[in-house]
Order: sequence, then structure tokens, then C-alpha cells
Amino acid sequence: MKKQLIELRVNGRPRELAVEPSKLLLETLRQDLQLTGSKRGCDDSSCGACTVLIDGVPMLSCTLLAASCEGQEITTVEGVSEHGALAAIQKAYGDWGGAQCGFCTPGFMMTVKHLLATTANPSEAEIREALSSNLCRCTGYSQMYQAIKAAIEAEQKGMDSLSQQVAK
Amino acid sequence: MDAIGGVLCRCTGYRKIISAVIDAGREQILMSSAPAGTAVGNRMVRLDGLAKITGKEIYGADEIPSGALLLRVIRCPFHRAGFQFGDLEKYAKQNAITCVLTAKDVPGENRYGVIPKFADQPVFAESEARFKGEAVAAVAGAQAAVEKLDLTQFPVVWNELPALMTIDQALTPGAPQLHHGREQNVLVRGRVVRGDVDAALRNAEITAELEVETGFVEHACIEPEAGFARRAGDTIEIQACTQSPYMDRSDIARILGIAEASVRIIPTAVGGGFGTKLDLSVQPFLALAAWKLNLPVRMVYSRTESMISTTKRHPARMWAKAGAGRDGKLQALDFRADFNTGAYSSWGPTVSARVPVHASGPYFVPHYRALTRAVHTHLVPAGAFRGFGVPQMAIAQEQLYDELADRVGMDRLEFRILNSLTNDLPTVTGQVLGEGVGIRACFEALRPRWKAARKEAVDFNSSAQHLRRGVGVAGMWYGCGNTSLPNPSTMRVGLKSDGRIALHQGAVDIGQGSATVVTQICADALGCSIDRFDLLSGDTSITPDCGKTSASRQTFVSGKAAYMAGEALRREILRLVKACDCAKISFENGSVEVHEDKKLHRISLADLPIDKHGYVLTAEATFDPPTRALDENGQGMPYAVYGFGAHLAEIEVDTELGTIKVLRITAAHDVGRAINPTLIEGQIEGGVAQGIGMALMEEFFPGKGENLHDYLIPSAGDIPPIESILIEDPSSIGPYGAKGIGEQAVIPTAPAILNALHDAIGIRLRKIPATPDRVRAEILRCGITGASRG
Repeated sequence: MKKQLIELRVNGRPRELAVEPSKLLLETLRQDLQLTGSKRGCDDSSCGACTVLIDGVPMLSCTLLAASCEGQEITTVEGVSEHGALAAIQKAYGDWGGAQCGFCTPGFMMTVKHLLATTANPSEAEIREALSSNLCRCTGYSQMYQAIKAAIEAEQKGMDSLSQQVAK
Repeated sequence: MDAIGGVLCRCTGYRKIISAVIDAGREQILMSSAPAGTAVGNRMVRLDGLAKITGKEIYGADEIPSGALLLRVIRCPFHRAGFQFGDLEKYAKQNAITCVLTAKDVPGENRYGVIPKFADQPVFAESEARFKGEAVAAVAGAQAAVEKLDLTQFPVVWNELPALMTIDQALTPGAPQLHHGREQNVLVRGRVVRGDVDAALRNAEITAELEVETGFVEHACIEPEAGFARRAGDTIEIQACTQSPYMDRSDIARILGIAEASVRIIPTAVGGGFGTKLDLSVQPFLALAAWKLNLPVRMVYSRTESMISTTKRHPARMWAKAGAGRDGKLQALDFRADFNTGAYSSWGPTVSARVPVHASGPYFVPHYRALTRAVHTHLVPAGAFRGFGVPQMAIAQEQLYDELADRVGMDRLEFRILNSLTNDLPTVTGQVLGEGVGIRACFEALRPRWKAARKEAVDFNSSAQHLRRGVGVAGMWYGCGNTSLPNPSTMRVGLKSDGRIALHQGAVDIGQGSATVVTQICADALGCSIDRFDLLSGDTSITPDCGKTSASRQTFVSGKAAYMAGEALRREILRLVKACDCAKISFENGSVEVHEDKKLHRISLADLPIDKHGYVLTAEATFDPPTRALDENGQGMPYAVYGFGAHLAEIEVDTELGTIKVLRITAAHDVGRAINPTLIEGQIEGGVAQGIGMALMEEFFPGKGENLHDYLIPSAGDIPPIESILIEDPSSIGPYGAKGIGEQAVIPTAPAILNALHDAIGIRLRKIPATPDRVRAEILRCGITGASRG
């Protein structure tokens, strides 16, 4: 199939690429841009490991054609860190056991980032509903709640509080 | 129990002490670094967390050498079929494929298996495929060419043959035999017998009997198997996700017909293992192609490919009968189980051997007989899955003990407490553990919640209509490490000239946190801050053999080796300045100071020669847990250490829909010593989630629903609040008294839920999982309505 030239905006940077029109966004990110943080877990939109943000909304990059994402802002786990520092939710997931094997973690990062961006003080039910769009086989999800609570606190009080939660 | 609500002690191990419940009601303090000697017991932040949260971690599919060919496998579409290839050369030419591989291309033995004595699985089937999904050929070539292939057009003619799908079919006299020498398709039998079970059951005042079946359970690691291989001269390098690099190395050497030293296994991060990544998956195909072509070759399993070809939890068909006196004391258990082990041996022998040792549960049972068989069928091989058959077994045994308690007329929890194994009573293999038997403490820790939950359920049910609540409890024990077999781990620790410490630890961290735990242990044994450690992990060319990540052995076995290596390095340092054991060591950049009484020895590391490992001082230690072979009646010392635990499940049943909602799980585990409470709680919560799946929704039917859309695993919405209670009743053999937790965590959940189901509406299912259709059918069969039970 003939490749076509497209321009994607990924993690704030414009990227010009020649891709086949049928190429999935996930494969484009992983193979053409070497952004391997987004994972392929299931092939049928069940697991959420490939979740990225498209204009701030969580989407499954295994179900999107790369060419269809032109002109939209794509954020992957590699773009979650802010100004070179870990985002609150990243640090909290790492500290509180939100990641075990870590394979599903990039997808969860995107889902939770969206939750925190759109819901100021999510209730436990709202957190549960958001988390239900991604699968994790290791953690039983419980330590993710702790992580999210810690991240919310940090975002409200500044990152200092997150650092204080972890004794040096 | 006095221990609840406070801390009785934070034991240091090597002392016989009473159990302590840790962290009750205490604020959890995470630590990202710890002063020398304080890492063990603290909630250290996991050392490999940063790569995981930034997306930089490398898993099986994440690194591709430039110019790598893509490999895909042609698999049998029938449960059993003969086959003949057409013109493979023509196919390769027409499709611009670099090569086609079949059994003829295997230079060594076309056979592998995790237990060498039973190795029976071919890389590619020869003339007959024994399960749907078995590999018969592979194609390798440029990505563009291989990706677009429609493999159903591969030139092979199938001749579908009648397949053995069930244990009964396989055992029928005259049934086709899958493997030569395995009469009636029985791969192996297991047996543990003690006392006179027939007489004891005849004479028992109270008896109960139960039959139950479980299905295949899929591991559903979120990462499908993946990796690449390349040839470097006379060495084959395989980088892939694996739980067992050293076993992979042996098998690949055998398949290629080369020396083990010519095989290098580089484990990537593992995106979930749970036992299935102990067996080879992509590795033999990659190795064959890369070895033959002298080009890098990569492969990633599709989800369906992963589900149809990799191992599953064994379906079990179990029968058990138990007897007790009117006083509630257990007298006898007769237990039989047949496991559907699928087409190849994998871990079938291990499951068959482990289950009879454990079928008593963590209780004293004087008269005992447990007989097991692993039976071959034409289905996907069943192998290792968190617990090696013990989770299935506990579904039978723990439900049976509930029945017995009811017939005796005793509270179900108190019945378990009364019969709990102790330090001084023999197990069913005649082993007196002497210490570290914390099961009674686990049950007692559940007592307050048990009483409250029972009352709450009764109150709820008194006014409910179609919703009924129930409370169930189940206990567990699990021997850490191999069953009566050698199981060593070797750790190497080196002092670098800059004052940092290199820990060569080959224990593959599959997410459970062993890399962090092992380092915590080594750091404290050495007396050095964990911040100074640099980890080298897994690669068979740079780390000594730490065995496989299985059987809840890494904290216990590899952790102990890390402890011994840390201590040995400390002794080496002291010996250098002839200081006594009581001297204190402090590590600085470029130097080490030894403080002894009023003397100070300063060792300038730059002045020391570099040894063959590249360090100024190196220590290596091997630990192999002491076990003894089992005799013909299964009597002996199968494990040096057991972990204990008990779960309490509170559920709500919708009697109109047959659905079950788990409201809360309380999990008490005796971990000996909680090296890292956060990581242990993570193991417990993850185990509970898998237990919920096993109890309520997970069953794999070979040939159907081979994806994560049809095969359901619990999502966040299925998991209730989980309260972990950690109990420390140390075992002096483990590092700082620690025992395993990985498998222990999953075992009691499903039986506790099933006991809660019985408590709620009085039914016991013959077939697990308790899916809504099965629950509803049983409700209708028994004529249960919401208001009919008080």
C-alpha cells in the first residue's frame, strides 16, 4: 500500500511521517516514533494498555488510524512528565504500588491524567469507573486508589507534599 | 486477640517468638532511601518503579535490533490433526519470505520441557499436532512481507482426527495414547498417605463428602509473549520476557544442539508472568531462525496466539470426604483429584506432586490419603499458574471443612482455629515444622471482622428480598520452593572501587518486587545503605543462577542467598583489616571505614587490586533450602518453610440474576517477616483479584473465546476494598525470618467466596467458576427464593 505523508503532533512536537493509510496510531507511535511506552496487549480494545490522549481525551491507539489523528494533540506516557519532572500521578503510582509489572501502567497514566484534569475531587466511585476502562492483572487495583489520592493531594498542595509522603 | 490493634513486636528473626500483627492502625510511611541497616521491614519504594511510570521500561516487544526479520508461526486449527506440507520452497519464493522452518530444521532435539525427565513438547509438531494452537511451521522474513501473509493459505493439508477432550475420554480403555509409555494417558500420579484413613472415616462420628470441578484458567498477563534473537558468532542471544532464564538456556541449548555456554538469555521486564512465562514460548522459534539465518529475528504473539498456545491453570476434578469427632477435632481426610494436563507435560508432574502434600489444608489431620493424577488430553498444555494446583484443591478442601463444621454444629472459623496446625504437630507428610506456623494467628486475626460481618449479614438478610448476603472464611498453607527437589539460588555482590555496591541478582522480577526485596535484604546484611546499590539482573552472561521466579521462592531462597552474600562481603571487608565481627563498617565514596572499639581503619578502595569480576572485593553465596525426599507414602520433608494465611469474604447474591458481588475481603497472612509491607500488600491485593476471577468469572474453553473480550478478568469495578493483615511468625531458615507470599495470596480467596455463597443462599456448585448462569440454575434447582432462608 502506498504511504502518505502526514503530520502528527505528539507530546507537543510536530512529527512528519510517511505511513500507510491503514497504519494504526499505536504501531506508528511504537515503530516510527520509537515511543514504546504505549503497549499492545489485546488486539480488540479490551485492555487499555495502548491508551493515549487525543486532544486530552483518553482513546485506544490500537483502534485509531494514524492518518486520522492529523491536526490533533496526541499525548503518550512519554509526554506526561512536566518540564522534565515527574507528574504527580507518575510519582504517586511509582511510590504507592500502582505499578507492579508495569505493562498496563502507561495506559493507566493516561486514563488517570484525564480523570484528574476533568474532575477536581473524584469520589471513589468516579475513580473506580475511570479505572474500569483499563485492565491490570497484578495489583488488584487497590494500591492505585492510594496512589491517586496521593496525587490529588500533591496537585492541590504542590509537589512538595508528595515528596514529604516519602521519607528521604 | 491482643495482637490486633497494636504491634507486639517487630521481630528480627532467629528467635522463636510470638506472632505479631504489624502496621495495624499505623500511618504508612514510604521510604525512598534508608540508612544502613534499616531497609528490611520498611516500605521502601520499589527500585524499578521509575522506568515503569515513565514508559521507558523495556518489555519483550519494545526493543528491535535494526534489520530484524519478523517471524510468525503456523498453528494447528484442530484439537488433533495429522498434516502434510505442500511445496514450502515455492510458497517462500512466491511470498518473498526469507525462510520457512519446520521440525526438519531443528538441529538438536525437537523436544523441550520444564522438567527434563518429562520433556515431551516439540518446537514443531512432527506429522501429528496434539492440540489446537500447536506450532507446525514458522515463516521469517522482512516485516512487510510477513505481516501481510494470510497464514490460512500456508501450504499444509490437515487431517482432523478424533480428539480426547475430557479426563474421562482420556482414561477410557482403548483411547488413543498421546505419549508412548504413559499408559491410559496418565502422565504422573501423586500420593501422600498417613495413618488409616478408611478406618478413621468408618469410625468418625461426623463425616462430610464433596465433589467439585474447576476449569482452565488463563493467566491473561497484559503483555503477550515477545522477544528477539540474534546470533553472535557461536553464541545465540535471546532477549525475551521470561521467568526462568537459566531453564530457557538449557532447553535452547538442547534444541539447537549446542553447549549451554553458547546460549545467552537476556530477560526483559516481564509484563505479568504468574507461572506461564516459566515455559518457553517465542524463544525456540526465534533461536532456530536467528541461528539458521545469522540475522536478528523478532516475534510478538497476538493475544489469541498467546491464549491458544501457552499454558493454563489445570482443570481439576476433585472428590473428598472428611471425618471429625463430635468435639470438632478433624480425624481423617480422603482426597482424590484428576488434573487435565493437556497435550504436554509442562508442570503437570509438579501439580500432581504438590497437591497431595497440601490437601489437608493448614490443619492437623491424623489420618490422611490424597491421590492425584495428571491426565493428558488433546488440549492446550496446563502448566504453572500461581499455586500449582493448590488453589483448585483449596476450593474442594475448604468447602468440605465448612460442611463438616456445620454438621458438628461449630462456628466455621472456630472449627478452623481448633484444628489449626501448630509448631509441634506433624503435617500430613510427617514433618514437624517446630516454628513459624502462624495459621492460628491468621484465623484469630480475622475473628473480630468475622463476628461483625456475620451479624451485619444477618441484619441485612432479615429485611432483604432478592439480595442475600453471606460471609465465608478459608485457610491456606503453601510450601515455598520446589517439592523435595534441589532449588538453589546464587547471589554475587561486589564492592566497586568508587565505594558503590554491585548486586548480581538473577531473580527475575516479574512485578512482584523481588529486585527491591532482595536488595533490601542484602543491604542490611552488609550494613550498607540501599542507595549505594547498583543492580545487575537476569542476564545469564552476567548473573549467577537464581533459579526461576516460581513457587514463592524468590524472597525466601534468593533473599537468603542475598543475605549470605551480603554477610560474606562484610566478613571480607573485616578480614582485610583484621577487625572483629562486632566492628562497624561505613561506606564512603572511594573508601570504606571500619570502626572497631576506638580504632578506625580506613580502606582506600583505589589502592586495592581489581579481581576477575571487576571489583575490589567480591562475595558469592548459594542457598538451597533443606528438604528431604518423600517416600512411597509421601512421608518426608517436602519444604523447609511454609507460608500461611486466611481470607474472609463478604458477598451479596442477587438471587434473581444469579450474580455475586464481593463486598469486602479481609486477608491475614503470616509472612514470617514483612521485608517490604507495601510490596506484600500489593501481592495480597493482586492475589485476591485473581482469586475473585477464579471464583466468579474465569474459565477458558479451548477453541472458544480466545481473546480478552470473551475471557473476562476482573476490572477495577469487580474488586472490593481489601484489608491486609500481616502477621510475622518467623522461620529461622528464611532471610530475617521471611517466607513467600506470591502464591499464598491467591489460594484462600475463591474458597472463602464459595463458602460465603453457601452462607448466603445455601448452595454449593459442582462446577466452578460460580458464573451467574450456574448460580441461577442452582437457585432454581433448589427452589430458593429470596425470603425462604432466614
